[in-house]
Amino acid sequence: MTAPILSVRALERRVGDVEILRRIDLDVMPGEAIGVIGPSGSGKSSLLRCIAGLDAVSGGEVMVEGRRTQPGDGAVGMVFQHFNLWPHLTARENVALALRLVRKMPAAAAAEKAEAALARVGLAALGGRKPAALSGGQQQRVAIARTLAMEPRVLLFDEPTAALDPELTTEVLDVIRDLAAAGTTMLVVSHEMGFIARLSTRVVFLDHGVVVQAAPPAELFAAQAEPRVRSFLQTYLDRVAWARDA
Amino acid sequence: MEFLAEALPSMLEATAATIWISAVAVAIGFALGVPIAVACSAGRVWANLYVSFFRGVPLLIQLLLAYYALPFLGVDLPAIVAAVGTLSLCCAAYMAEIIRGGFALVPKGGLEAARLLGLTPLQTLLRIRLPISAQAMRPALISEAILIVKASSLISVVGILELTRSAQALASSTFEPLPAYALCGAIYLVINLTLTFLAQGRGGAQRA
Amino acid sequence: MMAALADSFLAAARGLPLTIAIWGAGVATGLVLGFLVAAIRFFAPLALSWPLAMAVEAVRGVPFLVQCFLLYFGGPFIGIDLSPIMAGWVALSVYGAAYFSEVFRAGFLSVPPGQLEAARMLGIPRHQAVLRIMLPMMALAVLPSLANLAVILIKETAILSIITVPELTFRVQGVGSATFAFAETTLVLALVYWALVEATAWASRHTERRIARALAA
Ligand SMILES: Nc1ncnc2c1ncn2[C@@H]1O[C@H](COP(=O)(O)OP(=O)(O)O)[C@@H](O)[C@H]1O
Ligand SMILES: [Mg+2]
Repeated sequence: MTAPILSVRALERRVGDVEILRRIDLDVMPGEAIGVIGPSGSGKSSLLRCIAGLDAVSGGEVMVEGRRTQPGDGAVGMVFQHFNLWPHLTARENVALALRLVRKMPAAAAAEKAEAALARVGLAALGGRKPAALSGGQQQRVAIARTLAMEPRVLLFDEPTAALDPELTTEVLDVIRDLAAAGTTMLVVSHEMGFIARLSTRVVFLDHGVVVQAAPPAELFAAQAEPRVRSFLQTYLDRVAWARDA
Repeated sequence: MEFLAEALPSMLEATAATIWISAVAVAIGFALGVPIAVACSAGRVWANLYVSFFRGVPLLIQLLLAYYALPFLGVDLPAIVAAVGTLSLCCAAYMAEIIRGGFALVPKGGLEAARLLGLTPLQTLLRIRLPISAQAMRPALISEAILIVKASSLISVVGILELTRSAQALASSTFEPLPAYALCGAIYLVINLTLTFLAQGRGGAQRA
Repeated sequence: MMAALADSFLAAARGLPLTIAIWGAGVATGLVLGFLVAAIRFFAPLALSWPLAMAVEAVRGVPFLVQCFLLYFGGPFIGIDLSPIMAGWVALSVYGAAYFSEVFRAGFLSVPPGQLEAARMLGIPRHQAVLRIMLPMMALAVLPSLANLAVILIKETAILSIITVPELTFRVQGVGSATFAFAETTLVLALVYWALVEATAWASRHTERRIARALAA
């Protein structure tokens, strides 16, 4: 029995008297890919941001390999919905900056490592371009490479394709799937239900800051799912059915 | 205290002068700014030259021009008319730029719809373009009003009795320039903060 | 009349160097001061930023002429006894700083928090994030406004003639007083400033475009 690489214990987050997360417990084993789904405003982003240390927690704790996390300690990497690339730097410089400033790598070594990370997301040829000269999907892949290069223990994706045109989502989802296949431990918030179903070892369904159900996808997406999960999934099924009829 | 007692009556009177002079200049400036903006948008050379001149030459020099050069050309205006007129013409150049910027924000479709419905260009201007852009222009208009209040201090140079001129007189009669100019500055500040406050207050209410 | 025009242009040529020097010095000091004020207002606690905010409001709400009078005529009463040129430089710097600081502050505010959050996640220290991400990101956004303000300050230097700074306006008006050819001298002044402002505005637009192109590449 191995130890969990990430463990979330009785995590709570309140802002004023609004309870955003309520006593969340979650253990993630090395190599697991956890899908996080739930209605808008249910606390998915907040959960990831608390794990990353970007949002303050009001109670409980987040541990990675037995240590409390802090943003920038290298334990957790995060990929944002809006990429958040630095527009004045090329793709390669975006990836290399933290290697140089944080890992204190010499410029040449950092550039080399950045190229390797870009190659891993299929952008070997585009390292010299600035974000404005890249498509949304390419930008998000640069953002993934930037996070990957720091070799975090756990990767967090917060709706990584929500800001992309539909035809650009595949290239990003493919990269995430490859990473999962290579054994990267990750939590992925996404509304791409088919992708989550195929990618995840377990799916967490959040509603009003509470984990309503956490189960392998086959179980969670099955017809006898928890009522709240079923009604949430129903809206997706309706949309697909409507599209087929139309 | 003694200083204030001596200073206040004349300074308050001068404050009123500064306020009405600025108000007149802003009003005329806006009224003239609309046709100039339209002419600028239409690529009229005179309009662009007008804006370039009044924005490119220091107001102080413009005032001296009106004061010295107009009589030279045989135009003899009372000093106050020349001063307020110059301030208004200068204001119009800045207003034109603001209005032109506001017009740029009006969606083309709205104007095309108006034309198709048979509105005349003047009707379109007054009923469609100005109202649509008014909201967007408001902050810039308030800033321009503040600039004009401050710029009106320069007409003291051609001898018009307003706040700054009054403070100069006070400074030389009391031999106390520091409190005289400090009081003068404070009054300008109060006028301009009031304008800022009005702008923010109304804006905030409308946004909420 | 031709003589008065020629004399005026000569006087303008003699006054121009000081106008440009005091403008350049005022813009340089104003930019540095303005940046410091904006940085303190953005990064420092409220107790420190609040008085600065008041000061900026005060400088922006009072006519430049009145500030010049306050400093030049009022200053000696509180131990600040400056020559006209020094007073002009200080006044222009302070006036410019107030406006520049607002542009810089808007620049700081325009950097989306996400880009800084990304830096934080990667462990980039705050001061490095400011230096390497925040400042470059805001540079392009603030450049046009800064240049615009600098051009406006050229016109403010004419006001310094009133506190007897022997710059362009002062010198040319001297010709007027000597010859009573006020119409000609004022006309020359208008033409010289118009040309100066248009040339500077053109140069700044040109430079801006080149910088933008260099940064985008
Ligand atoms: N800083 C904050 N202050 C107040 N409320 C917040 C804050 N951050 C998030 N919330 C609220 O918390 C809830 C969860 O937000 P979020 O985690 O972004 O949800 P999701 O990502 O699932 O859409 C929402 O109702 C949101 O309005
Ligand atoms: Mg979210």
